[in-house]
Amino acid sequence: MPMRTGPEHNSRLDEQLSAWLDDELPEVEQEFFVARLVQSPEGAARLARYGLIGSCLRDRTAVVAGQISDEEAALQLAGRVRAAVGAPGSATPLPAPARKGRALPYAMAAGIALVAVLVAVVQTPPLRPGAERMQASTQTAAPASLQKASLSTRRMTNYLVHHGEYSGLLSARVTESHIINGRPNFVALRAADASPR
Amino acid sequence: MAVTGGDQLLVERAQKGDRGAFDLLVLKYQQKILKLIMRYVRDQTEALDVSQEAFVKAYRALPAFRGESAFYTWLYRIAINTAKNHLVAMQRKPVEYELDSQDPDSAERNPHLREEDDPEGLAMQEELRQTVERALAELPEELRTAILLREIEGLSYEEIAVAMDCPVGTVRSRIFRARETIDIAIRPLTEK
Repeated sequence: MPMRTGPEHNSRLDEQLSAWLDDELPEVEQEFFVARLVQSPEGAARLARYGLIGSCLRDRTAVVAGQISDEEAALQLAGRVRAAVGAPGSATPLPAPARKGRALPYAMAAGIALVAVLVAVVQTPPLRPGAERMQASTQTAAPASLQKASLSTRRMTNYLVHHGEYSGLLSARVTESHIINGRPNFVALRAADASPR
Repeated sequence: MAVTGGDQLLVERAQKGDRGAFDLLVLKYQQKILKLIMRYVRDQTEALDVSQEAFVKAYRALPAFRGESAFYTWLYRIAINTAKNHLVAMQRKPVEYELDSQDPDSAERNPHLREEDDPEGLAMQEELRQTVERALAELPEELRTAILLREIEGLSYEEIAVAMDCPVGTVRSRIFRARETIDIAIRPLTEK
């Protein structure tokens, strides 16, 4: 029995989500599905849980204890990336890839953006020595759709925190993350650095 | 009905700056990427940092992604490179085996056995694992078979349909119902 948490969500979307997770959603359904999914915090939360379920099932054959904890840890990733790149619901065009002969304007824009980031950067300690700081420059209230998603994420986080006495490592990570206060941070992206190494 | 890489539309949205679309891609692949990186970086805390860095790099590089490979294949390469660069930056030698940087499946075929897991953390995770196991055991046979063929054997819906002698649509429905039932069982653990 699918859980419905709002009119925007229904079991058809859930079934499509399941198929999409498996890369089995027919092309003809994808456009409508994606349009609805991006508007559905419940769908995002469900996606995370479906991923967790799959991971648990795959690891039931693992002989080494401790693999499961990685699944739980992975649940923090989306919140951390969200905090680093900006919140869902906001639409900021990504920088176009640099082209030959146009490097200078992009470099200047990148410099300006970087200065803005440096000026506004929140002085939180890095997660560990040497780790690249990728966290927020400014904070704004999350849109309603995100707040709903954040609630579910917070509950997941609370689960980890409530069980913190069993896991010093995980609870420490959760406490460090910005998921816990439900206020994702936003970061101004550098216009440069648009290619993976 | 044609089934293509189901990420394309979300990638296109993300390339236009829709962070919600990118967030969904992170949610889809976060488990895989963390596990992949833990094959290089054994410490979970460190692996989380590196995984985050990989996703952020991917986000920044999205404008350059032309869809010449599947999104996950591209993301996989970024993750591997990020992990390797991290090891170099930490002046640490890579672990004793190497994954194929062009083949995402090589990570699945090469399970990395860790020995330094936090034993206390296992107690917390055991509750989740047992809940999933119980829910799985209580599933009707056809649902259990369908989801196990998918999640453990990695069969496509079409292959499962052949194996179970039923239409592809039925496979899709069974896998969804199995997930949904297990999801209901684990939800209390995640919503406390």
